[in-house]
Amino acid sequence: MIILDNPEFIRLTRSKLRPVKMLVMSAVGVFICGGILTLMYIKESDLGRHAVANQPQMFRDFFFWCCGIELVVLCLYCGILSAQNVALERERSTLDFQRLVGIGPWRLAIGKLFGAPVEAFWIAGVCMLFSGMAVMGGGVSIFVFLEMQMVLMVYGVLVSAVGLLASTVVEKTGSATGLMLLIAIVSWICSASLAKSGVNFVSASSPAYFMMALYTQDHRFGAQGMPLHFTFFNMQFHLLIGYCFVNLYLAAIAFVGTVRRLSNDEFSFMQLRHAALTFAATEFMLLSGYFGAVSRMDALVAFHGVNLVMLGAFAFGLTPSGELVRGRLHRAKRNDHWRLLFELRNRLQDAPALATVLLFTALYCVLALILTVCAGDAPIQAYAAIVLVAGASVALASWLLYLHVYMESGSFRMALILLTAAAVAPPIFVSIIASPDHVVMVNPLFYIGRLNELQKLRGYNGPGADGAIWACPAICLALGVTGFALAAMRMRFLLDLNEIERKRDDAALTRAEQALPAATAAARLMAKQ
Amino acid sequence: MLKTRGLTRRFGSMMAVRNVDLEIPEKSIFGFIGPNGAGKTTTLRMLATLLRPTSGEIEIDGVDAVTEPVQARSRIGYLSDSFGLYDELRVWEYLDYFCGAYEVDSPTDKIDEVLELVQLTNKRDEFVGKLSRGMRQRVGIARTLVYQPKVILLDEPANGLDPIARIALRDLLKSLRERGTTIVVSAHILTELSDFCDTVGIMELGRMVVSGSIEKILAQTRKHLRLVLEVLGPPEKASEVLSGEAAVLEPTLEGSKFEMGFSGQREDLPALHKKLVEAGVPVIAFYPKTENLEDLFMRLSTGATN
Repeated sequence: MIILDNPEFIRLTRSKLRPVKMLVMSAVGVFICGGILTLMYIKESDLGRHAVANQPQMFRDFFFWCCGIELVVLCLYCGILSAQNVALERERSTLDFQRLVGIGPWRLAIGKLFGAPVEAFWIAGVCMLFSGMAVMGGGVSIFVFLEMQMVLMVYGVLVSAVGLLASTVVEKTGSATGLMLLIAIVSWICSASLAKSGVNFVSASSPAYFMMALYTQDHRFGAQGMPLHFTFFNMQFHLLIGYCFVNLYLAAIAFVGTVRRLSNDEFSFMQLRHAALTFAATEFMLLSGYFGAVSRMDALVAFHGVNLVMLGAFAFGLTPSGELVRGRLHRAKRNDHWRLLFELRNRLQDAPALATVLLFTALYCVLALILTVCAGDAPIQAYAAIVLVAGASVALASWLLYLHVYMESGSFRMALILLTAAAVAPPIFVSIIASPDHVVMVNPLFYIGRLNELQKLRGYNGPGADGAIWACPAICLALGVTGFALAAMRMRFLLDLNEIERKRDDAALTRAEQALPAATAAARLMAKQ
Repeated sequence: MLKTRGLTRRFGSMMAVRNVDLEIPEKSIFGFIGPNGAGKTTTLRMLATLLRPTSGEIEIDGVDAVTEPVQARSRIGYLSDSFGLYDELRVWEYLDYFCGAYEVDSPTDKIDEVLELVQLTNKRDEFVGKLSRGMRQRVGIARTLVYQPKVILLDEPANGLDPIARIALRDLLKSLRERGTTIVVSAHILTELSDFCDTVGIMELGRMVVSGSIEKILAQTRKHLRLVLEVLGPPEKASEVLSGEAAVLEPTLEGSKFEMGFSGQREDLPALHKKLVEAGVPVIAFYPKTENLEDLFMRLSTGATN
């Protein structure tokens, strides 16, 4: 009811699902799925010369074909439609009154979550009806059908939530489409590589993995079939539980960000309480991997890797727009810079990132230290990785803050460009002048990814080889310290400047009032200018 | 109903709005006047909670709009100068969206009532995309009427409207005021504003130069009466008489028409008129000039923008 009664959902459905459009989209679904079934029948019956030998097997394959098409539709079409939604509202100047409508940002975002990609859901629904034929044909059981549809539905919600979040960041629908495609590609690559790193939850979160696992539960694969369960604190659970949990958890994070940005696009993506919940839930999942993993070092790799990404995301997610940060400076008094750096909240500006990131970085350091000590004979690089993650997160937050107070506009975009350049350029440079192995010295993600192999690098002959373990942590730490110092200095400078301006204005006002004692109120005000 | 104190907004180093103090009473129409770039739209966007002030306070119907924007939004209707509509919806579907968003009872009746008010009943089933500019403007206003907000903020609502549509808009705003709505409207076609605004505020360079009722501002900002004297034939004689009068200030001549300040009272005018006639000046017209909103704006504004 919360969805069907939602005015935004009703509006989107009305505008996107007119009868003619529904018929066309249904025809597309029928053409694709019907075409596949026809081709399969032609192949299995040898152009209809004989009956299909193994009809259930044909329907089983057809079922996974239909699910695969649904997955592609949900991943790409649903993602693009969601990503275009807010950008389109912005393009045609309807976002302002959307922000003001009485339903509030939460209900508005829910309406968008299910309404923006309603065409994709419609096509997926047509594919689902076709995949239901496989149940009637004896290809798969009703439970497998329901399981798979649930997986796809949850995935659709996640994609829609991420698409909407992406949409709140960009100005144009074209950029939104590009960004969503990029996110889809990067997330598929990352989930595939992280799935190998010992985090059961990551493998449990991939719809492709789930589909593969279901597909291989067939007599043709025998013992080679992929497991349909995952371990959590050494206990085994059905994959569907983990899948739904991780995907809905990620969707909830993206959804909160969307709600915040729909409310006001100068706000940060999340507040302190959202970050605290995210931190707690993520660490909980990582701990399950740590205690359930075969190798503690593998689990530590995943722990540091996920924390590096999460704390980096906090730096960006918790920072309000540059205007709000500079507005905070405008309201502050002289010598307030230290207080501004460490304050967690104030009246007109939400969650300054630096203090929050410092808080979570400290928590991470304590947790990481405990886990590393508990891991037994952990090598030195396991400790160095803690310095690296802490340094990198502080560096990201403080440099972003520095850019916000340094630049008049476009500081967020500049920060993203610099971050991309810092992540890409040094590894390319190092791999050209030294070797690809030396990339670990300049890139935190590579460093953590190859944490187990770093000991070997010490035996290398060549410049910087001995410093392989400490090079990257030292760089991150130095960047963190310099960023922090620069942000503090810049803030102090601007506060001094504000004070001078304020004194100058006061003096001008006094002079004006003395010079024009008998003038009208309007003339006095004009003189002040 | 609507109060601001020290409202300030910076964009980078540019101060778009500086220390604006406003107090707009209930059931009144407040007109924002100022050249382009004066800070009117920024102020309206802050009042609409779409933009966070750098500093200052906004109170709408007793709600702090800065710290509780979501609560304040249910009391506000806002129509920006470049507002968009959903072209792919029919007029009634568009209004139904707002009825749903504000949980309006019996939405069908409300939609019909509002459409009648904005004279669009015959366009009920038309797609919004097919309406003319004036009709779209009326649909935009209609949407703010379905939920009867306590405060309506209109940014240049008459832009692009033909004279008939402007008159219709003016009548609509008057009828809204009678129904108890407080309206804040910005415009640079000043004669229209003076027709129906109870109070006005003149903005320039982000500052509120002056605000209050038009009469009050005129009285506050005008030290002397302005007089107009039109004579038949050569003006030398009239010029001679006027230069001998201490109360006449800085007379200017354009053709056969003098315009001048007058430091005396209104009651002193017949005596001056008598003196002119007795001196043989062929007077065609002699009257105190009534200043309108446009004159006031031109007098107070330097035309500077941010």
